[in-house]
Amino acid sequence: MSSVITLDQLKPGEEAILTGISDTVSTARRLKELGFLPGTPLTCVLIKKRGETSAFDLRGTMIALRREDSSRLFARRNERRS
Amino acid sequence: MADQVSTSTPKLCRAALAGNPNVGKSTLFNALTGLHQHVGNWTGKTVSCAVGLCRYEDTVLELTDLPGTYSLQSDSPEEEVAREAILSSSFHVIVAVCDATSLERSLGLVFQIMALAPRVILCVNLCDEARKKGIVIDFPELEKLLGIPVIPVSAARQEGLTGLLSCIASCKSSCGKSLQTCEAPPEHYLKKASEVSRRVTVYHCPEYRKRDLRIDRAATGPVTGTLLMLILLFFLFWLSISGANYPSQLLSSASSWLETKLLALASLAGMPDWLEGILIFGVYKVSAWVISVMLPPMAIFFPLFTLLEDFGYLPRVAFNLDHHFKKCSACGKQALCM
Repeated sequence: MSSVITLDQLKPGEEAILTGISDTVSTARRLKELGFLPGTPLTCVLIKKRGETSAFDLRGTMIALRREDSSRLFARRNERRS
Repeated sequence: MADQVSTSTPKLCRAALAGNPNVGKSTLFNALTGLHQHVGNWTGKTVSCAVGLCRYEDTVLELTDLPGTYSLQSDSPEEEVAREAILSSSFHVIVAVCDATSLERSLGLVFQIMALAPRVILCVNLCDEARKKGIVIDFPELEKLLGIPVIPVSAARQEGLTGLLSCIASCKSSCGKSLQTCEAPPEHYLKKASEVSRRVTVYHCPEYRKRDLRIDRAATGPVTGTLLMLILLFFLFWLSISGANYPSQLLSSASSWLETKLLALASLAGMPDWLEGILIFGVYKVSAWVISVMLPPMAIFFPLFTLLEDFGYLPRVAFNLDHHFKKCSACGKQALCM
């Protein structure tokens, strides 16, 4: 089992499973609405400025987040299944 | 015959459309009801929903377009309205609208609706988009797994609408037996949603995604992205500023030609000078000027801009520029006033 990381640490192409959202984010509710719920698989698609902004493929939709949000979302890296 | 029609009172069936935002709910609503609609306000709420009528054989359907929500947790006014509407017994049927291109995302809400409402019909919209993307959905299997009628439509192309109407009118939904009173947390529904969608959807061309991804990488890359953005925006503005000069000139010469004609007409009619001044040099000349200067750039800029929006390029620009906009406490979206 890999250790828990924050979403801004993911690199393009890496897959992860969301484990939790820090309650300190004021946008936590909005993020949950968009589908950032624990247990959701996601893939990092694009990053800009080393994770300053990154886009994730979440259930077929691409959503971009800034670091202040993505660094408060926790996930577990998913080894690519073939 | 005419007497028969007027004496037999048509059956009324009330139905509500519920679904996530951006699944084409309003397109479907408009396609079904046409112009026979009005905006209804929910008592005590700022959220309004449109109500429209349409006919199917001898049934009059009253459709309500509920606000688009991601869940029914009653966290926001929209969700509360949708939740209350679904819980209230004022609707005969709830039509849950889904996006065929991302079934998994929209099914979560469908399960939540099914837990609250006795009769639910699932309407899978955007089937044409899904076909284009090579996504094949096994509708009979979906129907079996959910236990409610499933109707594929594509509202923009007006496909499958009669099927949906007849299904609403007949209300023969099998899911009328038990009303579940306890609700599970949203995670539970999402898990069910991903299970079901995995079983019924087949992606025929995974290359489609790969191609999308390659385009995205190029459109947001540090060098290629900036270059592409500069070129596109430069071209857009150049075309709307300097390209608009030609139609502008044409319009202004046409309007000045019309002005001389109007002046001749005015003197022929023996119009007093002050009236001529107000009407022709005032009203006519100013409006002609404004139109000839403003209309061509707008007629060029907005369609081109809409085209970029339809390509999905604007969110990429927002992604590119967010970093810079953040420095002045704005966000990338404001770059292009989306």
